[in-house]
Amino acid sequence: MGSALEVELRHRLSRLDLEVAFTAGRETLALVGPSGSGKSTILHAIAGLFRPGRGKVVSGDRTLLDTDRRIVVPPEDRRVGLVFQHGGLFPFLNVLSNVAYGVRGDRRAREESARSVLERFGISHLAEARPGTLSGGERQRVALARALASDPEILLLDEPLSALDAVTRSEVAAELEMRLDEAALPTILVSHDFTDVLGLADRVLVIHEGRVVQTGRPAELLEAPASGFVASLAGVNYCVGHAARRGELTEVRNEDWPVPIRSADAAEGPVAVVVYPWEVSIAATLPQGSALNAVSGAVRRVAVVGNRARVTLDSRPPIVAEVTGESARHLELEPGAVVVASWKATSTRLVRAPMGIDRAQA
Amino acid sequence: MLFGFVALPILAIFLRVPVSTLLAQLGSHVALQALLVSLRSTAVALVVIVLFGTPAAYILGTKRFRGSRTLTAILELPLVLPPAVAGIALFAAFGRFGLLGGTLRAFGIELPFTEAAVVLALTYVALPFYTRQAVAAFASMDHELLGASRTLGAGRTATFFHVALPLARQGLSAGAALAWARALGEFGATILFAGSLVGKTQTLPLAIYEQFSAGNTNAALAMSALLVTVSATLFVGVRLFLRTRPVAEVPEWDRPLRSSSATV
Repeated sequence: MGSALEVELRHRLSRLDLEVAFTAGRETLALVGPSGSGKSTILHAIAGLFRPGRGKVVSGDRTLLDTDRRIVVPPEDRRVGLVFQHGGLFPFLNVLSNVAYGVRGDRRAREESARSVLERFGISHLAEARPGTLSGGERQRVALARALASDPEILLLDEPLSALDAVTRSEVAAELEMRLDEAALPTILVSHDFTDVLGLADRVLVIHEGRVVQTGRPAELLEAPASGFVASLAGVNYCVGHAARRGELTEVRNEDWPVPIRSADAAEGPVAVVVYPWEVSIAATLPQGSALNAVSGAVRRVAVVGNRARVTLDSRPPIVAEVTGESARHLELEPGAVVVASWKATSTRLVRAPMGIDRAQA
Repeated sequence: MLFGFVALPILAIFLRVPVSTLLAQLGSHVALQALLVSLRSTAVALVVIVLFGTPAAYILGTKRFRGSRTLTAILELPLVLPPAVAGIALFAAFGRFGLLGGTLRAFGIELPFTEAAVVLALTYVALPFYTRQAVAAFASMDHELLGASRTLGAGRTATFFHVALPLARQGLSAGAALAWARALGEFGATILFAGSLVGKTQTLPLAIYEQFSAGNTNAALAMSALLVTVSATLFVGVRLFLRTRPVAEVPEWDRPLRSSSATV
């Protein structure tokens, strides 16, 4: 047997030209991309809720869709579990009945099976509750329990975390990770937020305007984003220049930059520079040291996330730094304030320039 | 002012004649017969409307296809048709010498001046009151829930009964109540197409008109009071029904086992 799931889709939508092909084993595959990039459409096509112009979906040895051979298995026979962004729970049924809805067998067997699933998920106390009275996190737990109770062969999750607040989000993410491990199903998770899938996904497919622009493990994407688009999605600094060796270090030049960027990586010719925001520090004045990169610029934006602050500088190249909230307050980082961002040459990764990589991927 | 304007005439029905006279009149043969005809024919019409109107409204409310707007508009035609015109139209179509009259007679069916004709007239005028609400109710459903039902193994039909109907329940009940109220008060189409034969086609509104034109004001008032009472009971009943929540339990249906897999 080859892959557990094979997907090939081609569809022309009014605003989007969708063309993707990928396979998944018993792993969690994340489709990441901005909203409108076609991610949800892909999920709906796999589930059978949307029929693409051309396409093929094979689960194990069962063909669920093959437009060339005119095979279209209706959604109810696909054994594909789909968890919707807001849960998609039936408001007129209580939690127990929602979970029992997808279980096969006679009424008693279904109710028993639903009860045992609720117990396994630690949400038995919610059995009689109406979906309308549940919190966002509880709704997602019930939705996942319902999908898994129907004994699917493939599990699809549509933005399972995006409707949740930050605290609930990390809780649900942790539980999701555990349940997905337990279920050991080919799982496809859709998200517009790269950080959401970091702990969950074994592999990430970056989707942009209906195409897969890069595939890899989450860490690979962080280390070597194939384009500025992937980098900005992953939240890392990314800029392109021309590399030349200077003794121990490599200097990357770009005519827009006042000074070259120095890296400990060896490279020649066109390269892309990748710097993690958490390896950039912010100071009021220029720090000393030749192995250090430093650019100055005015603060454009300060976004506080928990006890961290993401600071965007209007420098050349533009730099995003992630500093502690404390130092952000200490430096009085307000939009307009001119500061210096610095990072070590050893924190400066050089990867292949985008054109080459994009071609190789396509 | 406005509320008084609406409420006063209704109150007047009950105040014009002493209660004892009202009750005495109600015992009359004619009133009882008319009430029976009214209840029977409106009930049958409502069943027909709900039975045929619901699936049609579901399709019109959930699917967009070529001509769906036209079909929706056609269903609403009786709303703008004056009832008398509707009666004449029915007569022209299904009457003895109407378009389909000959065909119907060939099958031994004679519609005009039968209770079936009353049902036909009521169905015709009251149908859009139900379908309008039903189409809106189905259209405003969260379509994600229909998709959820399908991925959980329920086919189209099961999804209709177990998800669409409960979701649209409020709208459907409100529409049914409106249609019933409209049918109960129907006058023009009925008198033209079905006539006003006591015990056969004479509904309460027709009986009221007949008594009133015969100068029998007390009887007309008594029957009006009766009709108001029936309508009001209906109205309050629907309100109460809509306020209760539907039962929440594991749906009472067995799904055929999906091939290729064992039960959990």
